[in-house]
Amino acid sequence: MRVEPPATAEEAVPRERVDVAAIFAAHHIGLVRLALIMVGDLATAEDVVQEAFARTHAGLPRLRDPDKALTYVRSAVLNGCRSVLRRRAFAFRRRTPYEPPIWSAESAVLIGEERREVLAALQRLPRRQREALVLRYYLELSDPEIADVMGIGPSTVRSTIARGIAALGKALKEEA
Amino acid sequence: MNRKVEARLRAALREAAGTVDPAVLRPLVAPDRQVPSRPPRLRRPVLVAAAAAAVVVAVAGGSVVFRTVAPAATPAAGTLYVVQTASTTGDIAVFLCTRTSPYTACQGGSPAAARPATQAEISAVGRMLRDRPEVDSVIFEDRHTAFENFKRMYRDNKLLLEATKPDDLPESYRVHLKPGADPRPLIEAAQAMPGVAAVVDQRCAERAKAREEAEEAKRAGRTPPPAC
Repeated sequence: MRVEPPATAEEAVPRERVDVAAIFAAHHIGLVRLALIMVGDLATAEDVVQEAFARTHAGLPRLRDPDKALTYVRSAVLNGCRSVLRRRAFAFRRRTPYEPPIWSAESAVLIGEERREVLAALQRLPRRQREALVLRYYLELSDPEIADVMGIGPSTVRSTIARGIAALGKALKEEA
Repeated sequence: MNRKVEARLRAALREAAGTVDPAVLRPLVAPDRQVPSRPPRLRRPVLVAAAAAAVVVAVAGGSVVFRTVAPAATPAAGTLYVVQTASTTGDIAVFLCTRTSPYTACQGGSPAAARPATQAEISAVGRMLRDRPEVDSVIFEDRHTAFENFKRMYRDNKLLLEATKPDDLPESYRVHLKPGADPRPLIEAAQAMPGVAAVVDQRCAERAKAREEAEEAKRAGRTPPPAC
């Protein structure tokens, strides 16, 4: 167990405040898009971002590293998406039906057949692979950035992405 | 093969993300964390709609404050808030029109045409309320009192306080009904009068309280008041 050293006078100086509202305002649309890709429908995606915003509102000003605020916020959104997907896995507990995901043929959102196939295959990947692929190929984050957002090591990120791409290629070929 | 998969994935993700139209996004609502003094059931900000560079606040379960704030002054500029606040007193609150009221009843067609209730209209509403048989008592809450209550309730919410002037808060009648009286005819009658912005059944706004009252009435052998 690591024991924190006693607080020095330097540490007692209040840390630079992080303007959560500004971060969310600047990245709102991007965060909703990220959530949409993960959960499949806009209404839920917006709820996830709103919830993450509400929850991080109090916590962020105490962040150790203000530069990591966006990473923190993305993690919060990703976490929210996980909760949603976990909840949905218990189909019998679901009271209100959600919108058909954008990659299903029933969705009112118009996405090309070929794209839908890719998105549907992405959804069937294990959670970690799916998240890593989205962070890399949608947000174009670097390995260390993805590692920070997902809370895993950079080398794990590399191998996860490699495995994810391989699995996706296999799935698409089989379906084609 | 991987290059091709990567390219297809990128394109698919971009197209999925592109389906989000920034124009229809619900704005984010900041939680009112700094107001622990109010009871929790009244601390739920409810999002209504976006309005350009304006923060709109609805107070006391139905009355409304409208105030334009420069975008730089607030991170939430361009957001419409409805904030439920504690009822100060009374069963039914009859809110009167203000110059900035967002209620269509006050606007006569367009928000720019909103006009405050005239003195004659205010008196007429008061007379009507006092003359109704189901009414026990009527109290007029003026702007000053409303603002004092508002300041007390939101003393920790600087943004809201800075954005709100006494003129934004509507004057209102607070009506106490006789026990067991049906509030609906009164609400309809009041809503129909000129100068009235909104009529709110405070007991419906506070469901838990209404349930308690219904149970109490049952115990006392009276007919419970009709459900909301």
